[in-house]
Amino acid sequence: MFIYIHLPFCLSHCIYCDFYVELKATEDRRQAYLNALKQEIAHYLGQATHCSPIRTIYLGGGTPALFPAEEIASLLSLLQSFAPFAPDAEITLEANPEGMASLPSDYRQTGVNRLSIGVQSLQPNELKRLSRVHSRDQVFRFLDQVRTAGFQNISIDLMYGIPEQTMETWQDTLSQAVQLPIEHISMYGLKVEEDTALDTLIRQGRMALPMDEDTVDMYEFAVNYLAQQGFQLYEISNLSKPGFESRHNLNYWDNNEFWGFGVSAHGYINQVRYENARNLQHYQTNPILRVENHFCTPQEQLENALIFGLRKRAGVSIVELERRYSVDFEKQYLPRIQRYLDTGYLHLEDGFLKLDPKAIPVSNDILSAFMD
Amino acid sequence: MSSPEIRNFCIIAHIDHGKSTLADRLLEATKTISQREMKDQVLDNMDLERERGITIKLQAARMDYEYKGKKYILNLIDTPGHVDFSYEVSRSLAACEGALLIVDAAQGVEAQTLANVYLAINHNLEIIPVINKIDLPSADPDKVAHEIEEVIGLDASEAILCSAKEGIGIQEILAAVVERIPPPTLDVNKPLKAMIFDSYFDAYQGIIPYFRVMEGQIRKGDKVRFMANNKTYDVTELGVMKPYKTSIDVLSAGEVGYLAASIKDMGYYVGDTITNAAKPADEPLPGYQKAIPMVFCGLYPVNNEDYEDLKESLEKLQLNDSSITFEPETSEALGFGFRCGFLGLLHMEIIQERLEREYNLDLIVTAPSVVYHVFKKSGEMLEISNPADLPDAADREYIEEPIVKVSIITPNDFVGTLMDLAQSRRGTFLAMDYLDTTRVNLQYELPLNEMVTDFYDQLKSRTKGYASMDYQYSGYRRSKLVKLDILLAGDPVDALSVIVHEEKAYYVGRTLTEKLKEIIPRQMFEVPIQAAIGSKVLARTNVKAMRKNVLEKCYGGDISRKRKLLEKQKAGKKRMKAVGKVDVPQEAFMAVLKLSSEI
Repeated sequence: MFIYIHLPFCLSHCIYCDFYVELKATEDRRQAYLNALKQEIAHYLGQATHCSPIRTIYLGGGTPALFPAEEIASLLSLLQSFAPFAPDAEITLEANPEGMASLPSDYRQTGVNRLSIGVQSLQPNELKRLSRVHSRDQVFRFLDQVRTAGFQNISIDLMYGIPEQTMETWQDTLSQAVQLPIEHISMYGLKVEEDTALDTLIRQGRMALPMDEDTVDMYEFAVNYLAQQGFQLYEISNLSKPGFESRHNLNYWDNNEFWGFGVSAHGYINQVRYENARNLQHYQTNPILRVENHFCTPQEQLENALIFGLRKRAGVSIVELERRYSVDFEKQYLPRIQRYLDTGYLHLEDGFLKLDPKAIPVSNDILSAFMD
Repeated sequence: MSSPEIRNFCIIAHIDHGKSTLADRLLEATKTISQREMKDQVLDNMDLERERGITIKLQAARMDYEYKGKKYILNLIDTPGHVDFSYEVSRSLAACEGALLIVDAAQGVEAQTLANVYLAINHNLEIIPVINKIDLPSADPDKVAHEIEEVIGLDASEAILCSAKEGIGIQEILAAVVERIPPPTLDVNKPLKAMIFDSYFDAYQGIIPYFRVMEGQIRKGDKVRFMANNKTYDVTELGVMKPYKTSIDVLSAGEVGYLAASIKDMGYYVGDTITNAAKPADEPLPGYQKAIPMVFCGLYPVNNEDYEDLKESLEKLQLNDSSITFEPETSEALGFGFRCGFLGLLHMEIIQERLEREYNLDLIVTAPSVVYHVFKKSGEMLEISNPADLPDAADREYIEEPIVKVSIITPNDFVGTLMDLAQSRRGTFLAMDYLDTTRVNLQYELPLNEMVTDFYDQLKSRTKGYASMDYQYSGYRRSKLVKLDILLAGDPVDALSVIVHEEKAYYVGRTLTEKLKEIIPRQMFEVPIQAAIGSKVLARTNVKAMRKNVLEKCYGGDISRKRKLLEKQKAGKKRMKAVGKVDVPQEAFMAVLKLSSEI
């Protein structure tokens, strides 16, 4: 089993974020939320006829580290009452450099063995522009702390395409980042979501994004530079030292099923993509209610397998695709992707379909060719 | 009591001078239609017509009217008001004995009015001038009456002052129709001769012709023959329009009506003569012409799978409007489509819009073209309407292109800019006449291919909409024409080729490549755009390669966002045509129409 749990509280709201987030993580509010969450988990996992061992758990948010370690422990033990943890289970907690509700070592003792830390940038002015509350120095201190506390699998998020970011500041951020005690980097282009504060600021002309050309250069520079520093790109936005790929994320790209629990969480179980209530009050009133239940037709499953599978550097195994989705790949897809194969944007070699590195920045264009 | 006397008349007016409103008022005043039933402009019953405020398909309405204790039948034959349809106008004029000439009290006589009024005079029609819109603050009926006398040469002393909008002058108009327009001659004993002035297609009854009985009688159940098409039919239904179809048993000389006879054959019926198959007339009525398309373009489905749908839709449209022609054509760039012929530019636009709206097709329309006469060295002459078909320069002796005579009526303030416009379109000045102290009739000869781009739009925009124009076909003339090819990413795109005059090739090439650069979105690779004559490149520009889509995070397994994004991407692509490896938006194929401001 693969499990995602959404813990929605944050200290403040970042201007670019449009995920479901609540401020003020008081004890009462946390307890009310955990009660609902436990009710949901017990309802669904209790109902499931067979629970295979838990392979990954991802505690995302929000800022899950605003929940003290004992509260996280209570969640994990509830899960464990339904299914055993696999011996190599990957249990990730998202945290921010400004700190955690408990000591890092306390979290480590709950069984959490991987941290994903929202660093975003190592430039003071960029952090300010993103309305992040931490400083550069906090990042260094925090990472030292968590490493000392025993975390041997640490990931950081970095962002490019930040307003007024330049190639120079990006290079500086990267060269500092590789000094940090980390195994994994998630590297995202800043996307301006509708109705966020950032969206408004940009439309009012009070902030300006870097040119598309420049952000692509930033991406390409980072991929090359980080490879030299031992971080291999294994998925469009993710790099790691060998053996530290995020198994939880790879599970998404492999189009496998997973549970999603908590407010606004998404899951994929029994061919149904579902979504929970999108606001806290609705969720807590009825935690088992799913506001969206979409049955994926065989065609959609096939499309998803291709669209998401191609994000992986390893690509998509044609043999496996044909077996899993009963499709004749050549017959159904070759004609429409021939132009990309001819121009070298896609490769079909050794039984794998892969995106060429130069195709990554324009992958949407190519991936949409697989949709009917 | 004797049978009612008949008056057959039509309305001649410039677009917007109030023809449709007046027709509505006449229907109301004669109680042919109640006010409750009255939608605005009953006679224009296509949505498109009502939206554009113009009449495309003419129809007829029969009104019963009592005047000074005597009963009359008034047949109003609606005429299209646009230059593209002048043959139809001539046929409907031939079905009448009189015409109301509507002139806007504020605008005065316009080019189109002139052209049609001369047509009416040639048909010996009694013309009743009506000065409309006298309620407008800017109305100057005396000046307009003077203009009618000066310019057209009609006696305007008895012109009727009217406001169709306000209902002023309607009774006077009806009285004048009865008193001044002569009744038709009622030769009921001669063999049947009825002239078709319009037709439309009904899904159940087949083609329904509208006609005026000129001589003899026609009855329900008669076997009739269409003389030009030489086909016979059984009349299953006969009727008049009041203005809705109303069945009747017999129509005699002088009357106007329709018939149904399960006519399914394609053909051009307007102007044809209906006679009785058993007792035929010796000769048809004069004046029948086949419709001659003047403007051509390629119509292609955006999605190749829609080819059959497009074909069916064109066939259906042709039943309604037999002046459209179409032939299958293949383009390397666009795949399978049709080369379609239209009476003029407006006609072409209307048909495109109807195909997209009524038949729900996504179309690519290539730039309009005309028919060139290409004389080969072998002595052979080819008629070419698709630039891609033009033989190599080495095989050509010379090319002739169609010429039109254009007449423009404009306030004199705009004469300068209009002369510039005509000069830039290779116009030859013919004459300039003052209609009064402020208005001018400018006459030019112009190659039709210069007209079919956006001459009319330019005329309107340069004169703030005040100028009006009309044109007549005036033959072919030898000209130094070349084929300008457009290459995308090194490959010539046949559907983008245009035929231009040698001297303008460089400018057209340069502006067209610049325009295409704006229209064609960035692709995954750089796309050079070149304009060339043969192997000689005249202009070149580049669409830079697209660098980036979005590399967003996929949060907590929410893949629906990503899917939505890709679906949007896909939908955007659907509006484009893959030409080789380049995705080209539909409007690129019409880009040549948008060059004028720069030329």
